[in-house]
Amino acid sequence: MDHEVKGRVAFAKIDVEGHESSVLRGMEVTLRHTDCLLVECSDLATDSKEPVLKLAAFFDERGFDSYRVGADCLLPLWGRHYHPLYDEWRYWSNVIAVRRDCAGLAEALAGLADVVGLDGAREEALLVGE
Amino acid sequence: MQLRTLITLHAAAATKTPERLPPDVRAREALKLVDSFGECDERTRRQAAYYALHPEQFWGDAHCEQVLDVVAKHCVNGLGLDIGANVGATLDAVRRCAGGEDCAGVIAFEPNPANLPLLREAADDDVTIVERAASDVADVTVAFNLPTGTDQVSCLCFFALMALPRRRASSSLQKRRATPSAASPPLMMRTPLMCSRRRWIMR
Repeated sequence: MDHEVKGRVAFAKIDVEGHESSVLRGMEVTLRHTDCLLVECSDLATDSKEPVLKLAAFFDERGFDSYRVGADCLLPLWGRHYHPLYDEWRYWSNVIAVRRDCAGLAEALAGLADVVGLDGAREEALLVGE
Repeated sequence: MQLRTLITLHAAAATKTPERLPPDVRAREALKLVDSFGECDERTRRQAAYYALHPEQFWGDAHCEQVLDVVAKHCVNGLGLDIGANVGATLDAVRRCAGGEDCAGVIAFEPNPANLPLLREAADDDVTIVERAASDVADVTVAFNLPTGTDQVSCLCFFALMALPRRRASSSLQKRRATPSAASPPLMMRTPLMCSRRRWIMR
């Protein structure tokens, strides 16, 4: 990868059927000048099942915020935001990672990561549930 | 059975029950499920409970469009990488998120020769196709990855290939170890036959 890519990468999409960790390890140099990545995380038994935690930690160490992509929101995964349920219940889904120093984009994605108030009725029920 | 496992199973069953249970019951069970993993801060707890209550929102990639719109709006022009480009269906989305018409070009990695004709057809002038898989090892691997739902065909193909004389199979499928060189740069894996989700790797 690092042999082929010269220059700043604005966006990378990775869909390699469970081999995303190999690809990411092979693009260490490229990652240093990459702004944003979308990684498909497969849930298939035949594919490698690297934990989401490991993927989130990989991005965190390299200065990226990572999120699980949902229909109406993003779930933050890095650091204290990670919850083991995200690995216990795995779906075929996507993770998006954005470099923290890309201020505009990082802030825009963080704005999609607020689930509080997203679903009023359920949020109320969650409060009642306590 | 451990108490946590029991709680988890019960709570999981309850949260996955579609609207038959009142929302407050499902919400309570979701929180119980989240809490069974141990303590976390309140915001993370709420987010995990939301994940438990809305599994349908986190499956598949059809809903990525909204996020990609945000990326396209805020991106700074640069290169776009499409790693696992398949037949090129995502080239436009990658270009859009790398600056659209002003992007510095798109590099598409696709190792499957069966996909290359369609990928070339889909690629505009600004797309560079790399006919290799990206990886962290310098190696040549043959991967059999036939379409899902074709078990019988897959087995037939697999055994047919296994039945080939070893020398012929080796030459026709280029099954060999590689050494890093100019022609085969490191960090690449060549994968001559890879169609979709079912995979056998022969070494």
